Amino acid sequence: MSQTAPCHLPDQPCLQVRGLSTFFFTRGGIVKAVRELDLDLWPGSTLALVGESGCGKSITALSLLRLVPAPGRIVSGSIRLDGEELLQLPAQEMRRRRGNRIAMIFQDPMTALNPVLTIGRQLTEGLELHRGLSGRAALLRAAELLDQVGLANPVQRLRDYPHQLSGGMRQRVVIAMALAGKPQILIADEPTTALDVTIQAQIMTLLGDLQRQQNMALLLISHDLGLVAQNADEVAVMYDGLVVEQAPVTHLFDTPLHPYSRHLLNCIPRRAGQPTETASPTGPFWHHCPARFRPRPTGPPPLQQTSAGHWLRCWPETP
Amino acid sequence: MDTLLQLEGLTKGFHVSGGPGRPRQWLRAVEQVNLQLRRGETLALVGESGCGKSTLAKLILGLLTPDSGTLRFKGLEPTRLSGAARRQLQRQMQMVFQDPFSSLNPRMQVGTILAESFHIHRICSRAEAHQRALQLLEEVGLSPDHARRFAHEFSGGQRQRVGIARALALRPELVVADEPVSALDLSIQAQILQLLRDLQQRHQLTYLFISHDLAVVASLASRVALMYLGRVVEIAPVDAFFGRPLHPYGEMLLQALPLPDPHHRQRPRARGEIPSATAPPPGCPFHPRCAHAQPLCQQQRPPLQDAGNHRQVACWRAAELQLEGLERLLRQSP
Repeated sequence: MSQTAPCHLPDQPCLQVRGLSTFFFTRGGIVKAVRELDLDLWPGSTLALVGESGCGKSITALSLLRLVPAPGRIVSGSIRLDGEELLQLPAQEMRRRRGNRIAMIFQDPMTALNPVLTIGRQLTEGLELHRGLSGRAALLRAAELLDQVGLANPVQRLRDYPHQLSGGMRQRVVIAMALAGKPQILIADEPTTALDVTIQAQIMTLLGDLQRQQNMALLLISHDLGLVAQNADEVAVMYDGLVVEQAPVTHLFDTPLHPYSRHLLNCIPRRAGQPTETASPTGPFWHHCPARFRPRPTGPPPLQQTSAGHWLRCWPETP
Repeated sequence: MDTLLQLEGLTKGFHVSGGPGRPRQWLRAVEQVNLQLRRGETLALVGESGCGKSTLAKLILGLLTPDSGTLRFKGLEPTRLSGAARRQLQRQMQMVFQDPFSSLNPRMQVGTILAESFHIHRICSRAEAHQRALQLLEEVGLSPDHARRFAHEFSGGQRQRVGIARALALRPELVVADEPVSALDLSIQAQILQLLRDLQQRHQLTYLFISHDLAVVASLASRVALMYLGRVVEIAPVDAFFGRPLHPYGEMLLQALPLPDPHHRQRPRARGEIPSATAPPPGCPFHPRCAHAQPLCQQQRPPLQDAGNHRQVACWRAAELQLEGLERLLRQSP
């Protein structure tokens, strides 16, 4: 079994994605869920993927883990984990990376947990698989993990079933399960959407603390721009399967360049009387763009760097 | 402004299973709620899941019967009226639901769903009902062609428009909207909020707006009623509440709200979770999570008291505490 190699080179991203495309081959035609995706995840840093439902955020996450459900398929691209190409790995090897080096937490903690197994059983499963622990040692480690995610009475909790816990406690268990393998990369798909705002605040604080302690790279998938502004270092805005803009978080909120990013930021609810954007785009955004971004017959524009770290997929201004 | 709806000491509890072999437990969903809704205003009912917001909405609409307390709508008590008079009163209160998919019959055309309200209340002929249904669709920004479609043929935002059209069919005065935008994407959310504002102006509607999303509340409501464990713990004009809440729970909620401003990183101080409503803590129900709790708070429950400036609060220490609000959310420039 391969041992966890920490992201030892700080000038190297621990996950490098290039040209990743995931399509769904349905009876109604091909759905291009993710197109030409380039992403770098850095140790200790948080990249947020934002966009509305159907933009390809979650399929991106599943693609990184090679868990795309049928009829979807990764059709091209490369995903390198510390230089190792994940798309070339045999399924058996990929299973060892999953949960061990890359872990994921899902939106709804109830469906992520098995209702008929105790918390202890679900936690030790991962520890046995990835850490080679068994019996008492695994249970002890499981209790340690629950303690680490801030659950009171961890030993007692090991005997509980998911329905006996509150939503916030369940999400802490899910995080503990994700951490069991000491992953370098944590993918969090809407980790707090199902939770109340005070619980959300506590879960995000916990994720931030754990990230610092373990120098994890975090891919935060969210539709909540407040959550993104508060927690991300870098933001990628997705629309219709494409990253349309990517920038450091302050750049993106201060000077959004893509009309879709501006549209999203304008939709944040504000006090009555202030303008909010009301038109909503469907289909390719360049069908809805203001005149200067007029559509071209050649398809989507390329992603280009406009300033240090700021990438934009938009046609240049034309006279 | 005159009072449209008046609640006094409204209380509702449920028996819930205590688990296998254990006795049933009594869950206090709504306790001693006093609330006034003025004609034309938007009152937001705010609180976290399980605080009793939705139960209160159902009590108001007559979908549940209160255990005690009174409810007056336009000065009349629906529970004391019979048959036709009661239906006549209750059709002036309508509801918009959170999930427009589960609240629309999947086997009925949308036009039929809308026309049904007119049949049930025997308002007009079939042909006229159909005509009115088409008008309703236009009013909520859909086209008359949509009448022949089924709910699954619509997007989430369009479905919510249908839900709103149905609520408006009988020209209600009070619309209770239970999390009407929380299942929607941000840009759709903005559209639906705008639609609600427009309709309110056009028809002088009064809204009881139930939401856990404070950003949405700030953009739509004129007053806020904050609920915790079945009780209203603070009532305030929306600006005053966001500027400086008087109840520590209000402060905790506002501080936990992530602001879309990456230059101001917050350090949320939220702690603990809502206790079980079957075994609420003694004294002030919020004291186990409160940073300002004192021995008195553990022993005696503070009543909802007048705090001046059209505000009410249920906190022993409200007068001395200087709690922090969210001025920034209010002043944010687009």
